[in-house]
Amino acid sequence: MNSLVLVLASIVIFIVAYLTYGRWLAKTWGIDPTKETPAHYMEDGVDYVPAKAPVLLGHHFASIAGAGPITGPIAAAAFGWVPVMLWIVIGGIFFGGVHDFGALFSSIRNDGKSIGQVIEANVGRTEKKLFAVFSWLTLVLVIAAFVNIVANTFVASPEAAMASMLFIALAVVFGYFVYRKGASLAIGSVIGVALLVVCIWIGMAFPLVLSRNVWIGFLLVYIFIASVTPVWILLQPRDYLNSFLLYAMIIGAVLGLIFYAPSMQLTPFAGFKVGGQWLFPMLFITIACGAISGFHSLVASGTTSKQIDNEKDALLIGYGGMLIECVLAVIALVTAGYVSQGDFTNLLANGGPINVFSEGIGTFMTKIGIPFSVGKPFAALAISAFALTSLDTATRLGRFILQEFFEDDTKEVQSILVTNRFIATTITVIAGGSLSVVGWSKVWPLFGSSNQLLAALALLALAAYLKNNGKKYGMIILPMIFMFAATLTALVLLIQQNIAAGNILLVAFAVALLGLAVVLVARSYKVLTKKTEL
Amino acid sequence: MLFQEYMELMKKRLMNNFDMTVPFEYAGYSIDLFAESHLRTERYFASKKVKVYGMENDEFCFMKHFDMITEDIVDAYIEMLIASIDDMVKLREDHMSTIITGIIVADSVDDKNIENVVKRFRHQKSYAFGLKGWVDVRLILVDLHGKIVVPSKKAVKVETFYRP
Repeated sequence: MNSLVLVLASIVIFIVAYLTYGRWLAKTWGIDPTKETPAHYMEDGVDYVPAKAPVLLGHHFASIAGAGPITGPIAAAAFGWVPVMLWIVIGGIFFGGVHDFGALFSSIRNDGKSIGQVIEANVGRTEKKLFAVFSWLTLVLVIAAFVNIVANTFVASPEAAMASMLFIALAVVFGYFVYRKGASLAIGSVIGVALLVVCIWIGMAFPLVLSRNVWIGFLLVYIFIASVTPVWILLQPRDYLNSFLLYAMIIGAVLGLIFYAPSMQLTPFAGFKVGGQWLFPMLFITIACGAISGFHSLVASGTTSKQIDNEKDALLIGYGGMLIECVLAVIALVTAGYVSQGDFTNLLANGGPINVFSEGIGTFMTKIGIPFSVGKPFAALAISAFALTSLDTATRLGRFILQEFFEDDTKEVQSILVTNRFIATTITVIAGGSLSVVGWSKVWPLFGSSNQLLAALALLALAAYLKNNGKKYGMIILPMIFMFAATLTALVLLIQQNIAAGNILLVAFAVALLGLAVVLVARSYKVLTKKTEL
Repeated sequence: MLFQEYMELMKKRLMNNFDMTVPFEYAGYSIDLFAESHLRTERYFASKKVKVYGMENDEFCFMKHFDMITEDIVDAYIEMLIASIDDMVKLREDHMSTIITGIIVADSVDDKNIENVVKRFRHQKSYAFGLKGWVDVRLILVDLHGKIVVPSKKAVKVETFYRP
């Protein structure tokens, strides 16, 4: 199979899916362009800020993409490229797209609050609390992991560190001019992207060398600031400008593939059991971003829903954002599939999936005249920039969830202790920072299952919301059942393996997750079948 | 099978993955075969220069032949194994697990009580709730005459490895 055919065919399928299934979802759920969004009727200049569709798409896409759509497909390529490709295409269109779009839509209709709030309104308050604890802990784990990843990247690549620091400064200047001085978004974007290139050049010329501990300290201060400052001054413009790096990488790779068009050398199907791992459920846990990922529902119902200018933008940002990510996942698969098995193993051993991807992108870009010595570091830099994006967004989401956990709608004045954004951020940063220093890697194996369980629970919340509001929810049921089956099976396997290994902490968390899933499923089942009145 | 034959067999089986010391004096015991393995795994981000995290798994085997075996001897040996945790476990940043395996080799074992002591044995300790890793102590009783291996609960998966 020619890799160019694979990429172009998938792009065509995604476009057709967007124009047909996506639009059908929007119509069926009752997307209403005339309805005022929370960004307008709750505008506060900090979290609720209307943003133009391209800007918000950039923020949303940069936040959900990270390294996930790259690492997942490449790691799962061991099962062969056909099952990976099928899961990206089918999963993206019928699972992930529905999940992201639905989470965004239901959040918009619930004052831009998180999925937890949707659960409270449609299932119950206790269930919301359970979900909030689970999702907050997952975010703390994400913060811990990405603090390490980013700090280590900055130590190993001081050029990327300098460029990332300049990106932050550039974002603040961009946000100030566009939102406070009324500068044109189009002109600002052109200048911003040009300055991005300048930042990369300065980073190459003047690397910033600091120790790992200093970077960890800096990152913790940075994520605190990014979480509490108005979204338009730092988080959103940084994500928006960064998204151009990813767009450039995708376009560069596709153009390179047009001229190169290598054949896929990877085996199409390696079997149902590879390296001691079963295709079901491992494929569906390993490939999260790029098919369906629970983290997306937190972003969609966290930062994105509070900034959406018009309900009609939800299709482009929620569903379209997911499908763009799927294209990136297909390209990632091709970077693993066009090399020989020996080269693939060697590249994996020397830097993991990101190295496989950077090598592939660098090679593809040489076909359009970009030297390999520029293309490969550019791909690695873009991905490391996105690791920082995932980190700051996760902190803000953690803050939202903690605030909502303690909010009581029946009271006019909320308890200042944790509904205050500074205190909620401090708790989240301290928790993530502490775990980043001690032992986060011991519980990291749980992330894949917990992230996908989050997706299943978000689908459950969405189904309950649609059902309670008299809307069709049949399109949710199959993805929801499948995701529960995959994640619960994976959790059981994880528990079995870690009981044998003696990792009691991980076993305890996995059992708690299983219990949580069972409680929420039981309660939501009653809602969905209308056997009890709430 | 004679003990020397068994020891040579075990040396062959262990040599690919373990460093061995023969004999090894420890806590008043003359250990016939002491073997240690240190396995390190790393995950990288983009290049080998960027380590995301590492995992270190250590294993120590204390093999001792007893001419005569009683419950008291087994209890004392277990005590020594548990006390060795402080010396064997090094809580480095990437420490994940340490396994200490005590292999008691006897010419023959006729006492069912001793077998039960071994079968029931279980000792595990977590550091910072597992965030700094954990240690497992496991026990293997080898009956050379009967060619039987009696494993503790945690040692069941390595039972065949120690079979005479």
